[in-house]
Amino acid sequence: MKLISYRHQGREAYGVVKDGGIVDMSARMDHPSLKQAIAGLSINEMEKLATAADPDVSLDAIEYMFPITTPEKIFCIGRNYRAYHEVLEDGGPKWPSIFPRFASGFAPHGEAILRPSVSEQLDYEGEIGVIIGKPGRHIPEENALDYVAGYTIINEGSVRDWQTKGTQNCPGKNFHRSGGIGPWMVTRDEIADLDALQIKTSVDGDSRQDGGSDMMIFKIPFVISHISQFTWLEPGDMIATGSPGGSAIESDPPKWLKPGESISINIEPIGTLTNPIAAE
Amino acid sequence: MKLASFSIGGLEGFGAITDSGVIGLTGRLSGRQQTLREVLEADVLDEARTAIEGVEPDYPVDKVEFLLPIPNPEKIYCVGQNYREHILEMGYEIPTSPSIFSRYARTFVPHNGTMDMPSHSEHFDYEAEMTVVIGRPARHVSEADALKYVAGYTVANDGSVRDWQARGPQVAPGKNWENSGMLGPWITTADEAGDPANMSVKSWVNGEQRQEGNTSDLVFSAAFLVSYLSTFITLMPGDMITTGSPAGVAVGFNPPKWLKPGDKVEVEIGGVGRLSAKVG
Repeated sequence: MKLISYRHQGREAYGVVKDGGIVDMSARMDHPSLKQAIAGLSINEMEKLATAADPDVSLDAIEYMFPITTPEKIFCIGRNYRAYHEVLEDGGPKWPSIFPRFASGFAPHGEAILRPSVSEQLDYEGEIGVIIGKPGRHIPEENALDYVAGYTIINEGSVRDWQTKGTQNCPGKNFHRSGGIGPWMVTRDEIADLDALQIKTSVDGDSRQDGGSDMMIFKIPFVISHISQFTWLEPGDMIATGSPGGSAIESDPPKWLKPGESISINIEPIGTLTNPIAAE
Repeated sequence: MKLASFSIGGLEGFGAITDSGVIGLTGRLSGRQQTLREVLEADVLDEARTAIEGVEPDYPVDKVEFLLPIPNPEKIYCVGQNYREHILEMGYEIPTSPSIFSRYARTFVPHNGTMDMPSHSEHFDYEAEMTVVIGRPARHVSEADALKYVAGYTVANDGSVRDWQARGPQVAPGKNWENSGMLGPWITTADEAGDPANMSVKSWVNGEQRQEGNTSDLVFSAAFLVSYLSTFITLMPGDMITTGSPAGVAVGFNPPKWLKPGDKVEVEIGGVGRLSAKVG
């Protein structure tokens, strides 16, 4: 099942994507947001309601919002994919590279990602986004997926020269609307094998990333468990799980994103996240 | 004027802290603001100042339970390695760009609160920091204009779990432990706090002084940091910036003087306030 948050005729709503449209769940349930519906363990109820109903609104008629409109936390994992046949030095990194981002660093599906006025080095990173479904702390790796509500697509957009100005990457990872999240989330049951997802990024139709999630170094259950050692994970929290090869910086010369271009990240069975690039 | 968020009789609100007690301001301003963040968003500090003139306090300070000065800030940015003397003492070079990272609000406890001793580490450290509170949306503001966007200042302990800080290339895991830092007790407005480039910064553990510095020693001043951060993101009312810590942290001693359950940590910023909490 695909769950979406959206704006229609000025009203914020959430619902189930069905037959090119949306069955409006905010009109049928008491929860004011998708985050609260998930926290209220209402995914099964939404499925029942959606099965019995016809779409209320067409996908063409809405403005997309982040699937979780106000996530408390967005943790990102850096350098988390091996290249095919790559043998990592000393068996690979001992710990994942983890950094937080705030929602204001992203744009929803369909809205412009902004190329900063102070840098030309806007890059993309196509990533599987995990959305947490229930509160957890000290989560064992074996049970970690029980805490997942579903998955979305994250473009963990980065401004490369600002990422290396200080000892921490934060400035380059926190530019206003420099990444994307969406278009919706699919519930956990839709993905049988987390190692069998293919992340495909294209810019104006030109393929840039095409990597399999089997190349992930720190797997999703480990990452959830690891983060939950230091903080509570809450419903609606997101984890961007790292990006395969093919970012703009890896080309010579780098293929930085430019205003007027359009970037799409496809991960089946989730869908495709598309954003135009505009000048700030 | 000193403004604090607190709960009394189970109700959360905010008010002014005076020498003779607390003047409750929740819902009492013309915009009926329910939180201090809403007061900053509405830019009505002058109205609050008028509202408390000649008014008798509603309750003694020891009757309120302090909350974080802004309980739900959108963003908290922190700066590492920012005291010149401390950087040279550690044998580092003076950086040309600040080291910036972020923390989520839930990693801090309020004044008189109890920090959680980390479950998987003994390397629990304190960092006394002067903290900027943003009053007006700030994007691309110059260093010369930056302080016009500051509502006031508060006090932070940027509590750190040193071994987790070194797990991976980014410090986030060691800087985002649940209830590992302190923030408060109040916001001292800019007109009253004095020059942010000349504030004393001190900390004590169980009454033993550990840190003593002055913000005049900052490599990157409060004004510079507001300007710098506003290059990449819109700083919003209620956002906070912790500006770094002088020498004297636990890891600097041989052997390190790690915090232990039962310890009392106090941090004082001259002209702003004194913040206190325990380790649980």
